[in-house]
Amino acid sequence: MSLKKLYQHNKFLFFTVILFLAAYFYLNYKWGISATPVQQYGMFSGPFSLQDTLQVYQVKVNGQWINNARVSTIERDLIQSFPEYYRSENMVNREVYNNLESYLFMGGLLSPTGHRHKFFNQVNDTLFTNWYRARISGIIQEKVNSLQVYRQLFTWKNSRLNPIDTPTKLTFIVAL
Amino acid sequence: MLPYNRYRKQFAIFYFACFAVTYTWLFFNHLLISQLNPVFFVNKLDLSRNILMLTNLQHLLIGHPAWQVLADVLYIVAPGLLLSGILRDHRGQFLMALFVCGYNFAYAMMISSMSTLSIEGYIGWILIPLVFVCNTTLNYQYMLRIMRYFFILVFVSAAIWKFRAGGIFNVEQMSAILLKQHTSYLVSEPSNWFSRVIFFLSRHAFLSWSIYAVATLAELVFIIGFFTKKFDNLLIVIFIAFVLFNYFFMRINYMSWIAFTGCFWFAYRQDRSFGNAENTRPAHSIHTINI
Repeated sequence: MSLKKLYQHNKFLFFTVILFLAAYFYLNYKWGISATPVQQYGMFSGPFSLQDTLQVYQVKVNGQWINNARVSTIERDLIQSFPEYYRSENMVNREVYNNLESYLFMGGLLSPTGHRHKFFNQVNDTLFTNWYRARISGIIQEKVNSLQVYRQLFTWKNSRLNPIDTPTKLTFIVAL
Repeated sequence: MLPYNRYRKQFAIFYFACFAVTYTWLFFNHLLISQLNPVFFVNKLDLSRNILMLTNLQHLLIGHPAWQVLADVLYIVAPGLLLSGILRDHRGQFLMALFVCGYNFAYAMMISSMSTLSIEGYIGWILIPLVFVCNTTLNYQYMLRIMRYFFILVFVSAAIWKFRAGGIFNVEQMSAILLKQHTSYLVSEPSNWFSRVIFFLSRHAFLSWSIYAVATLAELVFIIGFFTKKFDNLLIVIFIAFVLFNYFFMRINYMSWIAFTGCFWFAYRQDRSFGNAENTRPAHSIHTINI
């Protein structure tokens, strides 16, 4: 299929394709911002090192540790990712807002007043803990009476994963 | 019925079947919006997502189970109605295709900011319905090819990124990725068979880098699709192998992209049946050619 023939057949489709390609190459060149459906498919492209610090969340529920290897991949993702998402959501959302504010409000053409709150959450520790507890309860198929979540860092040394600190209890998981 | 319309219907069935399988997978993993019942979202540097967020859809869904259920129901009903419209040659199918495209975009934006699912997996559900928006034979054929080229572009650019960002030049790359991807699993059960496979690969950096290099090559080889459709069946096989290896080594589910293989399969078959789109006579409406 040549672009010339597409142009002769359907100019609207032709210009849509050209616009899409221009956006695709520009955003991939810019490296950082995307505009779905134009994405950067660069996952796992940047250099990773065996010296990288690795982080694990460990959940103690009703006095027992959840074995991260005995739950499904999706459940493990949920256990590992959401404490991190919650910990960083305010900072991430603020950074995104600050970066895109001028685009969203067309350099002052639209007023951000009345829109700013849309880009931030009204979540708090209790709300998150209750939500996370419900998800954990679904995973272990038991009522959760006590819940503690710990974060621990590891590194790869001497061909094994070694802890480099003691587990730190997450303070935003509130007592039940 | 003309073969062209038969292929179009077959593609619609294939698209919906892939979609239904993915939806079922989301359901059984409790990943639909109403099952997650999210309490917060995490934004991303995505201009389209942020423009959508100006509508405040994210706050409408958070903490409102009725809206969440409605969103999930519509997410499966809309493509079902599209399929039904296509199979019955209903006049509203083109508008429905446009709606499915827009709705899938909004749903993907929301769920990917409220769950661990990434937006990349939803691109097929957003873009492929555009193929069914076309209301003439020739437009449909062009659109099918455009979608095929888009998928090739995705794969080739993924390979180029590995060169640009430097991952391919780093011998430790795959060892480090595997450790990062499975840390919690490895720490919990370091001696089971999967952990031993990952540890073995991490200790043998060159061997694991070879897997990374083969995956990069598998992405790069799609470039051939820009010049010929002769190897499309091979590209489909490479893609399915890529999906399976990704699932085994990385536990990443790319099943939702399988719908794109329909663009390869049907574009190739249509060309074989009718010749290239450019050489066929334009441009009958689907309603007029469906005899």
